[in-house]
Amino acid sequence: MPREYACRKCKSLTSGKVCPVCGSTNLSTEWSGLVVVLNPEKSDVARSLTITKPGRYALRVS
Amino acid sequence: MTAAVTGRIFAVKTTGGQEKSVANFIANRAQMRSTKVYSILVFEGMKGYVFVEAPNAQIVGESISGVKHVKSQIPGIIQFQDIEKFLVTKSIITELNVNDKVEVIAGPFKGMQARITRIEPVRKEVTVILLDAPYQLPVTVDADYLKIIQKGGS
Repeated sequence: MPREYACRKCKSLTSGKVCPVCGSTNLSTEWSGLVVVLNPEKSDVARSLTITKPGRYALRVS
Repeated sequence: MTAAVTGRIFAVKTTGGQEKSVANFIANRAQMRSTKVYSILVFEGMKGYVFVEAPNAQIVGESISGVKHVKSQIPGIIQFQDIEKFLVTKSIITELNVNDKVEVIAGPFKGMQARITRIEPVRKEVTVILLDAPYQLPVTVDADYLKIIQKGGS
């Protein structure tokens, strides 16, 4: 499985060099926890984490 | 006033260490079948459990049936308030004090124990003296790279 990076800005996970959500290149390999958001409009979890786009996110990024 | 609750959270028991692969599988299946799964959660500190947010238990049951490494679905609904504290992670720097004994959990000094000598809250940096080094070696590291082992100067 390719190494995944978490965006320090929006916590989105990606295996590329650029965050697919916010376009930031400030990525980290030190992350933990996982949230897969499929329906941000109806998800309380996404609302609580202020996630507006579907995707995979880390809970904690260092 | 709080917003109306739309999704309910259900716990799924999995094989320890396979939480992320189970979450990815459930997400892929939900996308393929267009089932009403809203989100899937994996907490680092809760080994063997995946949390699925969906309108009802039947949808969760459908999305986990036959999935490898899934053991069972826990009956009942998890209150959102109970998992909310795991979602909002405050920075560890607020809990750190000078003279605390810590372990470095990331970076080049990973696994080494240290004692805090200075804290810079604005930059989220902490200066520590590595205890495992043969001589006093002050190192400045990110606060998130530290885990408290012992509070105070004892």
